Amino acid sequence: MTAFAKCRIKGPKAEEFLDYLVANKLPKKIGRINLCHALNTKGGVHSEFTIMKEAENSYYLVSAGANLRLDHDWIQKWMPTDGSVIFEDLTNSTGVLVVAGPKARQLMQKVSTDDFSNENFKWLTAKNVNVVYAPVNAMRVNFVGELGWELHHPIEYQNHIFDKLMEAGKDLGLKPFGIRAMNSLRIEKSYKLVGTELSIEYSPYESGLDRFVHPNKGNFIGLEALNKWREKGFDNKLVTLEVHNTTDSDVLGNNPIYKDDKVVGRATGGEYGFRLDKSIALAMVKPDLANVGEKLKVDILGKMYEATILDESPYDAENKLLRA
Amino acid sequence: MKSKTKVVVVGGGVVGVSALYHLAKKGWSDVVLVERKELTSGSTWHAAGLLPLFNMSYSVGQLHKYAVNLYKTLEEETGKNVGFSVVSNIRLASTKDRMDEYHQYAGVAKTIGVDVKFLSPQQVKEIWPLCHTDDLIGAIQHPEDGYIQPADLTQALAAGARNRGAEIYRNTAVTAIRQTKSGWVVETDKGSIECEHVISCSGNFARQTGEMVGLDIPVIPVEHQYIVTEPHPEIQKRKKAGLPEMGVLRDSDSRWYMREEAGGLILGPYEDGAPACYVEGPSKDSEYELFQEDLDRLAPHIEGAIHRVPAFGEVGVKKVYNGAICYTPDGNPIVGPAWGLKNFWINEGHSFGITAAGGAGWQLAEWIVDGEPTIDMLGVEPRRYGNYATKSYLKAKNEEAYSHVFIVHYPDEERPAARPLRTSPCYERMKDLGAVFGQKFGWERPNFFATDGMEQKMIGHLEDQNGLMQLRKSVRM
Repeated sequence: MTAFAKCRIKGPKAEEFLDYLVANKLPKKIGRINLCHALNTKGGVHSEFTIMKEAENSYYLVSAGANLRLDHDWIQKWMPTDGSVIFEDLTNSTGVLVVAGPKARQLMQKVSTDDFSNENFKWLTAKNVNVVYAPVNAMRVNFVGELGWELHHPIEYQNHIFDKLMEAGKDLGLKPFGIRAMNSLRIEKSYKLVGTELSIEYSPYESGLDRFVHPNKGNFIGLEALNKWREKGFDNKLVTLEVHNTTDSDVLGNNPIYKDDKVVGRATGGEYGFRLDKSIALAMVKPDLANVGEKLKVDILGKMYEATILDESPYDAENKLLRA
Repeated sequence: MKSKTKVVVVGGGVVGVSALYHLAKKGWSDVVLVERKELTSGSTWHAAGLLPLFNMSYSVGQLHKYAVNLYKTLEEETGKNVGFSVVSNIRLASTKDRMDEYHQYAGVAKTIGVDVKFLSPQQVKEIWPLCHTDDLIGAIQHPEDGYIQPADLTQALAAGARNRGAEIYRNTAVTAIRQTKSGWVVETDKGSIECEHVISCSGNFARQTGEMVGLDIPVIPVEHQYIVTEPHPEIQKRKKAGLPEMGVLRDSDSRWYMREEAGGLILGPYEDGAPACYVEGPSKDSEYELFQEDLDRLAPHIEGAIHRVPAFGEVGVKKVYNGAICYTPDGNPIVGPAWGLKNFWINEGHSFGITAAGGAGWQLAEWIVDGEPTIDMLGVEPRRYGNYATKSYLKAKNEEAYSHVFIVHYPDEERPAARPLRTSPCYERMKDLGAVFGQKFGWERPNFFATDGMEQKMIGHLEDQNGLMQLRKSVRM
């Protein structure tokens, strides 16, 4: 996942600025990671950043590769211009490989003498480690809902890390995976993406980001508008659907959702969930219909399918695997 | 000419005039537009004026819907006829994949409230009796769209803007754009204008306007031709009998549009091999410019057109228009803020500018006056491209985008031109492991790994056993 947009925000006012930029609280301890959303001034979701605290007033930010210019321009236009905050683009100098799966810890322990135990390397933390001889910033996060680490590294070490992992992974059944697998895996976890589930047209509450928004933490971009929006009431709610009796096609996104022959929403994404063995879709529907068990219909390539609203994150709802 | 104003719009094609109109409509009456020659004299004047609502993107679909509704009200508002012929628009399908694409699109249309009807070949025949329908499997129709007179539309928007206090300076060429502490100064050959915001709507000159402020705007135009025929007796007979126009016909699989024009027909193909043009920008004196026609390039599509509408082959060619239309690598325009600069706005790269102008102007005015757009603009975001979009990359990708206009839009579509370009060190290693790559922001990223005898290539699928099998195999560990 080397294409990720990456940057460092540092300087005496880095913490103050970032706290104003995003709706979530920033990670407090060095080595902690939080998922944070930058809202626009109208309270819609503009950008999503994984933020890691590297040092006092120094943060490492990761966001979608496709949004590099969008996200970095957004940061730089809001940044104070007096030099108290410094922006450093790390995209091209930093590579990323993702290790995920139940045997991820075993694999890491084969290539590193650092401690990857759950006690000493918790979910949502990061550590500087070695992978054989290479320096790596291992971040215990991922977008697929399994035990695992993102290995951020200076780009020139990539092949060393890649080779050592593949070699050590032979006995463990290690296999490479790509973006399409990742999309299927993330849908089973109800993980959202900017551009589909997250958009300036939706408030973070409509997109199910409630636990990442802290309206009482102090002022941030979009807070006032978001509070007004909430008073007025929301028109949408993101739900996870099981689509029944599909044979060969799943939701692709922008599929209309029906209740009693009336359009009540739109699917934002979907894919076959291979761990659940179900066709899964994420969808924006009217809030009064957003109840677990609600029966809806979804149009896939002109055919109507029955669909049922599931609890969020139908795969490993309690995140036991992530935190194992 | 004013020496100080709130906004200077650079460029007087339909796109620029619409931006001006919408700013004025939103209450910013102290705004001006500068045009180096006459309004519409770049690409607007030779546009075929089609208003296709069809677009696979949620963002662009909403812009189009807004525009079509707006254009219907302009005459009442400004007293100027815009020549809007609501003749409907039919897109034909002769393959199952094409029909699947239409079904996927119909879903997009439904979610944004655009009316789409499915037609049987028989129904197509009833509406378009000159159309050969035996080998079709169906079609979709947009009852609400049709075509418009681009120059009249531009003049109506200009009148609407002027009525609200906006000013338009024709024959005024921009020579430089400078950033100041508080905003911008636009230098012209008639004097300089101080302003808070600049909007670049300069069409074929996009890259030259960008250069003035240090921006590499990812736009290069491509040549597009359309043929106007002499009148056909059958069409003249229909007209005399008072029958309605047959409407805009699109044969997606043969890659062209067709409509009636003065008793004859217009045929516009999206052919392979159409070259990028104005790569270094048009000449200083360029005005109402057309290129030499190249009928050889059109030959396969002319054949396809004669197969579909034999009447097309029965009349002589009256005129061939070969003019520049702006392109971007994905074929969608660039509408929104410039990166790295405050209050500099880009409204460029419009390959379907007549349809998009209304919505683009609307959302830019929202963005400039209220600080944010009201619809998700990611599909047309200027910042969706990066430094990897070099001039030679653009040339290759824009020519590709042009020839792909009518391609079946598979959800996992990956286009081959100018690749691989940006690769991480382990690219070759992944390739050896069976990686099939896609391109994101210039980077080659593995979409999946072909294993167990799977073919190491992307197979487009909407509903397709192969596509699903690929995924199944690559996900199961």
